[in-house]
Amino acid sequence: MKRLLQDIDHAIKYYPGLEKVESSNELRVRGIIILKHPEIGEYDRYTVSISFPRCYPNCFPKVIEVSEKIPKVADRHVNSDNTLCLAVEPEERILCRNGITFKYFLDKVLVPHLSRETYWNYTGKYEDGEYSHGIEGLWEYFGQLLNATKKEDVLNELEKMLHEKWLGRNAPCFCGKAAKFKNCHRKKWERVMLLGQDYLLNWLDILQNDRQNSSNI
Amino acid sequence: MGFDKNKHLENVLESHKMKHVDDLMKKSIIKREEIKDALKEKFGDEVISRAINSGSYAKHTAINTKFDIDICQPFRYKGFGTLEEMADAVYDYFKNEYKDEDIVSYKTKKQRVSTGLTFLIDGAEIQMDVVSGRELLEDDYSSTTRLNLYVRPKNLDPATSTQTNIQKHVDLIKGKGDERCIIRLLKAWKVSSNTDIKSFFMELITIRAFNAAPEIPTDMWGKLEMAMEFIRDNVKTIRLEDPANANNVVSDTLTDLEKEMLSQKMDTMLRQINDNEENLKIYFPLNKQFHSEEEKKKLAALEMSRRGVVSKPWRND
Repeated sequence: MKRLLQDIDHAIKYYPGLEKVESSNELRVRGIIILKHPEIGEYDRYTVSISFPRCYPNCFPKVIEVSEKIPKVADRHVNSDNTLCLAVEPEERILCRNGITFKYFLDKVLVPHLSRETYWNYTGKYEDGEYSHGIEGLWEYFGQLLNATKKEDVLNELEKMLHEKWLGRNAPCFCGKAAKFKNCHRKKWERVMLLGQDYLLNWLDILQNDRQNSSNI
Repeated sequence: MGFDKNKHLENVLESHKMKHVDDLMKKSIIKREEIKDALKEKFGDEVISRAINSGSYAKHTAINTKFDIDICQPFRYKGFGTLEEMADAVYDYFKNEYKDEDIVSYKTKKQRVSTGLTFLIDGAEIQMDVVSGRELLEDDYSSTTRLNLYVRPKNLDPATSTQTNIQKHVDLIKGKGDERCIIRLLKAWKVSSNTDIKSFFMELITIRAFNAAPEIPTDMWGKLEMAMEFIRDNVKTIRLEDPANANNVVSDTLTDLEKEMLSQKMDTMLRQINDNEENLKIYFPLNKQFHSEEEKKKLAALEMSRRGVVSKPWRND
């Protein structure tokens, strides 16, 4: 608890609109986040309420946007409990695998996310795209990690990665490209494996069950 | 998910649009029409018709950081004894007779082929070049729109004359929307980098780049890159003639050294932009003065959204 308080105190020095709210059963951060561009200055502000789940700092804090600038609808990435959906679950897991600080979360996750919502308010779109809702978004995420456009390819590669013995580092890559395994598939596999064997096996199971729905991502 | 070169170039064009100086333009156009009326009234039968619009505004290649509202006054073949008399008569009229409370009279000057007028409108200096031209033969203008201009002496170059066709210059760029965009971008670069190259030169070499391309890229950056590569590879050797007069070699307005430097500048820019595409912002900057507040905030939000570590948003419901 002490470490969390220090973590929060350090971060809110940089975000003077935020304040720590302690009560008997929970710790929250509330207040205004002013979005500023180094040259242009303030371009928007949001009022937020942030709580810290048990898994923090190995997961993101939960954020509710209370200024109601972001409509509470699925298309604006707001969960049914009104918290913001900030990333696909495996991506969050990779980012938080070694623990994060609250300042890192504010700087690198929440402020960019709110900026994306501001951009949406001006243009009606996410300029850099978005993952589809639910499990389709997960297919897209794994497809992107593995450079695969077909669900079949995602499953095949995950199975190969998780169930077969990996090739030697200097062996020619199985994909047929004229490159050593270490310079080809091994690199991206290592990144995917950051998610953990058990976690991936669980996802492989979920994706296999979902597989029959459609063929392409 | 990186910096979008095409979007940036669209924003550069948008921020350099003349609509941002609409009020100033309207007042300038009123001045231009008054000047046309004054010329008609002063020179009466010596003029063939009211002066015609020329320059970048008439060609739709103007940018709001630098634009002239130029006109060309066609005179009759028998209107004056010599071309010099014609050019000086126009200059003398504006210098000594013409009255306008917005004209900065001490800045009225003889230029190479025109009389330069300066107006002070809402605190901004607006430059207007009045080119005077004489038809080549009696009653020839209406069918050919060709004119002879007096070219004043400069440095060691003696006075001379040149034939031109302003209408042909305006028509040259008509219907060439892609080329106009690239010309405006190159002008924005020229003005922001203080590079002294005649706009007409830029126009001709850009048009040539498009004509020489086996296939025109569909995106804005692709088109700009194509034009810049063409300039880099060809500026030192290319011969660009005034389409209205083959004897007027527009490419000769740059010295060999200036051509070499232009080629090198293009090469450096292309390499720097390919190394890091955000360098495009240095060479082709937005005109921040006329970038709307909303636009600024929108771009700020986009830029800051890209500083995060999460690739894309998602909703798990």
